[in-house]
Amino acid sequence: MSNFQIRPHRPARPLLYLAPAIALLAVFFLAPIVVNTVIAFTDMGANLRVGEFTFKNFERIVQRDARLPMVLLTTLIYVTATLFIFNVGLGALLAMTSTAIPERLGNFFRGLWLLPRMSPAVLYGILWIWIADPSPSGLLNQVTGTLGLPPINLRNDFPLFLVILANGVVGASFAMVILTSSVRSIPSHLANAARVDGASEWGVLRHVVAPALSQPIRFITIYQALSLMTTYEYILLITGGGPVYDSTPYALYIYRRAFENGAYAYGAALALGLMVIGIAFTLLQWRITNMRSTFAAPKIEVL
Amino acid sequence: MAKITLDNVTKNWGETQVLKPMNLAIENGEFVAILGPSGCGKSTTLFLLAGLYAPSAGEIAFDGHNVNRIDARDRNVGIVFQSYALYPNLTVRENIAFPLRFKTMGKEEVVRRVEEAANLVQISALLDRRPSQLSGGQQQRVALARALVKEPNILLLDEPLSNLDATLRITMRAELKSIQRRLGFTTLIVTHDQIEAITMADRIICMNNGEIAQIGTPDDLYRCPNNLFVAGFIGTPPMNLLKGEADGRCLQIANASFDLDAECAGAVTFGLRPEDIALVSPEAAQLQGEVVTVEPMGREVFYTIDTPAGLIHALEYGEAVRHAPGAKVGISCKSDLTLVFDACGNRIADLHADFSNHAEVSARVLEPAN
Repeated sequence: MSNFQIRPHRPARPLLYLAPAIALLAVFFLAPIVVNTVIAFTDMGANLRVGEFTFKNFERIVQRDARLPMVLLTTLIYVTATLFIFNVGLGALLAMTSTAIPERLGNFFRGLWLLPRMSPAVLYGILWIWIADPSPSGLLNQVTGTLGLPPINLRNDFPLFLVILANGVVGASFAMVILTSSVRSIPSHLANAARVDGASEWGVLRHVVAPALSQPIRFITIYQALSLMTTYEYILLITGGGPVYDSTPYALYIYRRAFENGAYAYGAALALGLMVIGIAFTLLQWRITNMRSTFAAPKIEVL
Repeated sequence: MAKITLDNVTKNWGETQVLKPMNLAIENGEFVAILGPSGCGKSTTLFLLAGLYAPSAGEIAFDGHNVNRIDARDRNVGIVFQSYALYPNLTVRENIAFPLRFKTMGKEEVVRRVEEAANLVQISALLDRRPSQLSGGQQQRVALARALVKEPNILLLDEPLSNLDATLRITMRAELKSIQRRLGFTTLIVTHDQIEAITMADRIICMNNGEIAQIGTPDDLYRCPNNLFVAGFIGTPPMNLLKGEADGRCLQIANASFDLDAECAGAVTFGLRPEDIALVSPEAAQLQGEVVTVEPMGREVFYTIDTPAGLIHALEYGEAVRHAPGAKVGISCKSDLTLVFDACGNRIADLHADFSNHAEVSARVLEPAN
């Protein structure tokens, strides 16, 4: 007698398993895009009433928004400066230096650098406001005061510099974490081989470390460019985008148009523009980082 | 090409001394193997010579010049690492040319040298590939070409064959040896594989626990091991080592006793190589036993024999299994091939036990009568 029980084979139902994920995506990602697109073609204001469907908003973006060129320039400066100086440059520097020192010290140092990412944005914003406070009791002015220099009003005179600095210090930690693991994954004998072959420590950095970092840096550049274009909370907290619109990049501009001026439909139209840029960047990332090669075939058979 | 001398060189990692004071002289053009189990300090020695580690004490000299304070990049040493350590982002050509980047050299000279080195290790057809497109054996050849291209003073090989399959290993062994002979670089190979060391090297430095156990020709180490470590480490299958007690001219091992050819006293270890044993008829030998297991290995047969002195392994050449399990056999061996080690594990010179074949002895005794 065999002990096998013959059970009919039931086909798996992938749709059933995927339903929760699909529902989440639909409600929180797809639906807002659809709603946003619809609103962009209306005249919705702060009273949330839709009077008519119109192309007026897009006409305004292209022809009548005098602030927009300035905002786009601010965005370009803000994104490229933060990205290359801090999010990639400082991040790579932190990764390389913190892996070259004794491990415990390196871990401590990196942990320290991650703190602002873990602390609430408001707290971080308030710290920067205190640092940049124009009165002599601001941290920066206390330092300049002891050097006998006049107080500086960073938020008023160099607002873009301030937001780049504040965002960059937080943003560098992303590249730092990723590149640290890249540096760690370089086999030590590769550096040894380069040394024996005649390379100085600088040569090891250039010929062994740098090539190993090029792929992750490409990823970080595109990913962080995207994230810098769409986030604005630190800027809103520290300078509020001001004075006037001097430190307002595109994403914050959308926010200010929609919620400060109550022009919801116009904000939605501007947001569509950001979405187009976002999609373009994502496709670029797909191409450049060759993401398909990181996909692996499933290890289990479902159907 | 250089003569290497180590004078009381040590290496500490924190509190632990991984290399005990080491003295060594390697002649110009010599091919030397550092042989030992993992963690015995052999790779540390290699890295000290390369300048990748700094000695904690002592002096390393090339051709009589102290190189302690000379960086790896200025020592003109070529290394082949165990994992080959090829630069993944460079082609084979660029990999081989890499050491020449740091020398002032004309472009044509670089091209010529790279092609020469590639020819030498027979990879001329692969120059435009990347390391990831090569097999293990090909990568190893590239690594060797990269080490040779700068015409190093010293060539260091860190377990270069351990990642290759068995047949390729035999080919590369012969090739490495012939390249070394042709070019005459002073060469050091680090290995845990005694066959590699014995077949390739002029001299072997056998290391254990951070110190040199013995230096000598392969034959010295095999025939006259200075101590129990070398005796047990060199030779496959390993030497039979039996603990016993010596008293005058009598050696007692478990329930068996043998004659010694010189006076000795105290606890000793008796050594006998499986391949030196001849299995004879029980009455012809001093020591008898019963065959426990028989392992035919193709070219030879490996026997485990239970004797009053303990379990003894014996190797008999030829394919035929001449003794079945349970058979009674006599164990004989030429007396001068037997070794005796004192309680500290050092070999007692010129002391042997009588393991002779009685039949032969009596024949020899009878001979003059003829």
